Amino acid sequence: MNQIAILINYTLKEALKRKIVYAYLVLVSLSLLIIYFTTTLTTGNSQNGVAEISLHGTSMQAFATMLTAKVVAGFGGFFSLMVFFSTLTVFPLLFNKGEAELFLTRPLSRTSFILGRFMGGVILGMLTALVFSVGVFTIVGVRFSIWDASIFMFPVYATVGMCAIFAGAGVISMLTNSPVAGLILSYSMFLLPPAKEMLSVFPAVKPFAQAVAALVPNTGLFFSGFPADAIRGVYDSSMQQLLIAGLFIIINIAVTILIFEKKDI
Amino acid sequence: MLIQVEQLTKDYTSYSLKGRQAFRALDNVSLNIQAGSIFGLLGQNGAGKTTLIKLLMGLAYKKSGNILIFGKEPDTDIRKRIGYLPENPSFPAHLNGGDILQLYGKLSGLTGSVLEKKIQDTTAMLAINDALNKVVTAYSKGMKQRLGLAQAMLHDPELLILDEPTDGVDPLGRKSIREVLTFLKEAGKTIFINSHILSEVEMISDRVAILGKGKLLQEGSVAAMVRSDIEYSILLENSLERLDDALSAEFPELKLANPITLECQIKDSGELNRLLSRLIALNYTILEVHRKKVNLEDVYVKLMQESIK
Repeated sequence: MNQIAILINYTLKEALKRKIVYAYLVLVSLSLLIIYFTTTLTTGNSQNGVAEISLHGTSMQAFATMLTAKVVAGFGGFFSLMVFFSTLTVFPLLFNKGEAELFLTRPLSRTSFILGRFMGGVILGMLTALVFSVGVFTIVGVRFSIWDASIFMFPVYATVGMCAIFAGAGVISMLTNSPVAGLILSYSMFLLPPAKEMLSVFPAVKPFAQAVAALVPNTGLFFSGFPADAIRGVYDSSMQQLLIAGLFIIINIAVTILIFEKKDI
Repeated sequence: MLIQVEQLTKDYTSYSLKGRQAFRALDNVSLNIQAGSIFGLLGQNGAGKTTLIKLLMGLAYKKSGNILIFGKEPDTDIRKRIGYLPENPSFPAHLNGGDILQLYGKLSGLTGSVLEKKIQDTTAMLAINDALNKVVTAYSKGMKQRLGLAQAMLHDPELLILDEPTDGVDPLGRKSIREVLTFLKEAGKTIFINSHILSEVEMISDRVAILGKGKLLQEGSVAAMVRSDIEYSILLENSLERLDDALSAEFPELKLANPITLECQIKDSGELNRLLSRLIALNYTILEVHRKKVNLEDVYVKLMQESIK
């Protein structure tokens, strides 16, 4: 357990020395400033503001929730892209032979190595989501004096989404011997829902498309749609996907460890 | 014996459109390495040297045979007693040298002031203590090798397994690494080196093994290896067009290098005396007998040429 903690600490330390993480913080800050200056509160149904939201007939709390959900739905895609770049070389490069050799010749089991790097990558992603959430929470609070904590549903869903991506990347990296291919293919899970829709017009492949959709989580929605719904108090659409994601993560990590244990480095 | 390798065989399998292809990287290799010695492993690219090291370190899995290190099969626990430098160490690009040594030191069980002291002592010995605050991407190839060596030595292991430790290091750096390795040997450490630089292996190793196409071609002490192939050149006063048939039949290794110089590999002084007596009996006048110095490179090249035949 101590070895895993050392690996997590190292993963975070290394990530915090990357320029991409600071670029992410700058972009988040700019986005939050845009929200701050372009969101206005009206009592009518005016359409003049960039992100003008009407308070007509709603309470301040409902307004805050609506605003937060809109921000998450709007910025979620951008955020997932930033997570992709800021964690690109963190988790998948654990399969880089030169680097892995130095770790695996220490008194460290292969399972601990996988778990340490996986958890380091996930915690890094969770922290980046948390930074974004704290920013939105603060901006909405300062701008409108409404301190709505529902935004913190976002890091929860985003973390599950990232776990699924990293878990998928682990198995694909093992099978292809290419960490970058692993991450790119894993990110392509974003494309599964539209692909399923397209393939569903062909009766022969429809069952296959449905089976894949039932087994692979719709990761794209974990960064925008699901947390936005959860902020509004709607969980129906995400519960089944959370279950699929949970199973997907466990199975993929287990398979990654099984393959890695038997693999020549 | 600190390392015992018995009939070790390793196959690699690859899959392509042509189907499954197996490649034998090591074929029935047996070696014994004594504690407190420096052991050099030689061989061409693809001879199986790195594969053997990876099997010793538990990074790859054998097909058959046995490996015992400290009398046990290599496992996670035994790595506390081993320091390892891979052929091309890849360090986390965004960390500095000090951070990297902290990381590997902690993973080896060192903490606090003990770790700090070890980092200071080891990096001072390898002359990289001034570069600890530099990001590792700013290191030269030679500095990276020394950092790699530092991480291998950090936890004071009893056995050091070094894959090309002086690769990319300048001559002065190579000399200082040789001195460090000799110092470690004197301190009772066992060192297993895989290197292409034969002169270096010859200078510091007690014993060497030469691998070719996955097979052990020769193993023994450096002194015995270079002694086993003693070559003499004999300068004659008489000019010869061809060797006497009877002499050629008696000494098949005898060659006419030029009209006044004979060359011959001689096993021992008795055989040399016999050759000289025969030459005198045949009325050749001997002006000079010169013992050619055979080094490890000559032995290696000869073995490689024989293995190709």
